[in-house]
Amino acid sequence: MRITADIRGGNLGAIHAAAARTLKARTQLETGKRMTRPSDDPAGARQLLAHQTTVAAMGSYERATSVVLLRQGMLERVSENLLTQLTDVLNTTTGALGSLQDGEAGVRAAIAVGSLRDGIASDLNTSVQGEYLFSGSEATTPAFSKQGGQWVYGGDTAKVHVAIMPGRETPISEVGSQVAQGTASDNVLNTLESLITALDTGDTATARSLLPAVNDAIARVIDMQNRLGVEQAAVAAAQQRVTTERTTALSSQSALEEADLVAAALALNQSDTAYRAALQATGILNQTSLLDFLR
Amino acid sequence: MSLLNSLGMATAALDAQRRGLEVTGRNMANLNTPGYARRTVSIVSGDAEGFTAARVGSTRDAVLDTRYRRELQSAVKDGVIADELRAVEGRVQSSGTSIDTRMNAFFDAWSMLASQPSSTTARQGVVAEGRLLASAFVDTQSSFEDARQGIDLRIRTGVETLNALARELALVNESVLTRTGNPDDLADRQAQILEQMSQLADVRVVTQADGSRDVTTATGVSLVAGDTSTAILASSGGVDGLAQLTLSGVDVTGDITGGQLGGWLSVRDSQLPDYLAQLDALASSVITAVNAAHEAGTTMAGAAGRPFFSLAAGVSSTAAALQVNPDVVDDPSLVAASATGTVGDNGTAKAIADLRTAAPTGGGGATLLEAWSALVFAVGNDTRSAEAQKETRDTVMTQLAHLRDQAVGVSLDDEAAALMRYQRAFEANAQYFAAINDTLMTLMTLVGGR
Repeated sequence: MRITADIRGGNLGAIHAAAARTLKARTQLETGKRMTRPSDDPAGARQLLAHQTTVAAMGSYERATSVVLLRQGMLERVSENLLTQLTDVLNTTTGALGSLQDGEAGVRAAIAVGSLRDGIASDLNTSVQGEYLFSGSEATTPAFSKQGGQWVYGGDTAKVHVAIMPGRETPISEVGSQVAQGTASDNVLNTLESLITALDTGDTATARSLLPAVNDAIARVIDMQNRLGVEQAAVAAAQQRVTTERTTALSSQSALEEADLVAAALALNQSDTAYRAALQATGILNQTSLLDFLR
Repeated sequence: MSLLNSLGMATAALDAQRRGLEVTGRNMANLNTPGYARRTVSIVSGDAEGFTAARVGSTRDAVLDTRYRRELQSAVKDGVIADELRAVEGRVQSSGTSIDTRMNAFFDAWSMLASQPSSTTARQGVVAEGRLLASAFVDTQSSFEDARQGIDLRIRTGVETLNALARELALVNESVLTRTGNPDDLADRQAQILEQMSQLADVRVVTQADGSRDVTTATGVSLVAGDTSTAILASSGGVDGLAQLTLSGVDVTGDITGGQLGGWLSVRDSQLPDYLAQLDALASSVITAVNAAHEAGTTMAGAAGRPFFSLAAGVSSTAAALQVNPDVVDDPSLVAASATGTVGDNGTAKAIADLRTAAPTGGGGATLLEAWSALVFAVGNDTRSAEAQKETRDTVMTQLAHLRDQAVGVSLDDEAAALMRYQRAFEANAQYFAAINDTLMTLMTLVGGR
């Protein structure tokens, strides 16, 4: 084996290679990441992007769910108000029926029911961030408005749905006509208008005949509450599933992306040893030749 | 043998050892000279009278040189491809600005609009994210194109260097043919130039009987013939004004497949155009899928949806021309979220948000994000393959370099030993010369005293 000038110089290649390996291991330890560019693991980079997409999609469902929860919470409060107010209408009317001959009692009952009607109309026209909850997909139109002395439904019969997890949607609006009217001949607000007139004029027969329509309205609100309960349970389940999927995707992402710190530390140690050995070998090669011994 | 003949023999031997010392000194002087092949001295018994002569030769091994050059062409090419692609792959994974990040943000914005279909703010968000996505496409396309133009510049510079080397080799050949200069020195210079040319391109070398070295391209078009060189011309007649290489009127752009030029040409004409085509196809899929859904929807005013994305005029690349329809940018209320025509419906917004995970029609079953990840994979895989090939070539190169170095490299140990050997031999011959001279002097004294 002849030690030539190129061998002395060529050893620099070994130093550079060892230095590059040391740098790579150090970068892994410093950043905690195994993959810093796609060529580190091309197939892994592809998987990583798939996981990132899953994380982003689940994040999007989570944000949608927070909007849904806000609206469902509002619907729940409104339905409770409606139920209370319709029950109060029943109680007020029933209480006043025996004393309608006394004109003042009828007027007082009519005023009380009128106040309840205003509350019910206001609840049915509840809006969140500028969108009416009971107008179906006609979100910018109030659900009920008084036109020519009659309460008219301004929305449509299409509920708006939002995706809360893959393959599952939930409504974020209600169809006001289904709640206020259902299959009845008129909506509850017009029924209350008739009731107020009957109470005001002491028309006991008419007032009594309108009570079943109020009872039906209560039944529809309860039905809406039940449906709302089912959807709230579905949203809670979806929220859990979306969080689990997101966590799983994040965990898979970390497993792909993160460096094995023990292996990286060992690699750093090994490459550092190789680097020092290469430096030493080059030093020795460059220090001595036969010329040194011939002086 | 007469005493005078002995004196002549000692003089010849002294001269031979002096040549040995001279060559040893020359070897040591050229210890770090690139391309230098160590010289050897053969001391032979010159004739029947025992006269000694020194013959100086070079240790150059033509077969090893040829193998080394061939491997060098491939190793340099793989190294160049790996280096250039490493620069490109950084552009497909710039955190926060990469297309996947922007695409996810764009679909998030549509999802948010689906939750608030009549919201003006959500519409502004959709337009803003659409513009950022379009910018990501434009930036990525531009960075690929910049890389292509940068490589083209390097190709033009590389061709100039190759031409200069060809001219230099022709001059050295001329010296060889006219026998001006030391033949071994000229052979060293030839070898050094050929190695530099091999770093640049996959040239073929033919050694003529007269010692001149002819060079052709891999397909046999002459670059250097004897003392004449032909320059490669780099015109701007290629695709997109890129350099087209011609040699003696022949288009050799596709013929150069090795060395730095081979690597640059490969990235410029093969890998980068593939990536650009994939990027354009993806941009086209985004436009088609989003616009199809958007045009099927209706705006807040109940009007039919217009194309959400459009192409800037006068730009040939789809990715480079991608932009949000300027009408929609000016008036975000033109964003169509409703599929039924009612203000609060979110059918269209949901359909576009669903494009995150649903394969668009005609997309080959892949989602838009999967199409992007296929491009990232292609860039990563090409880089890794080039790096792996370079590592393998480097191993072979190291072995060949070692073999060649063992044959032609200068070793200080060898030269130190040779120095001692010639010095001792010179001293011995000088002693012999002195002894014969003394004897002759004695004889002359005897003759003179008579």
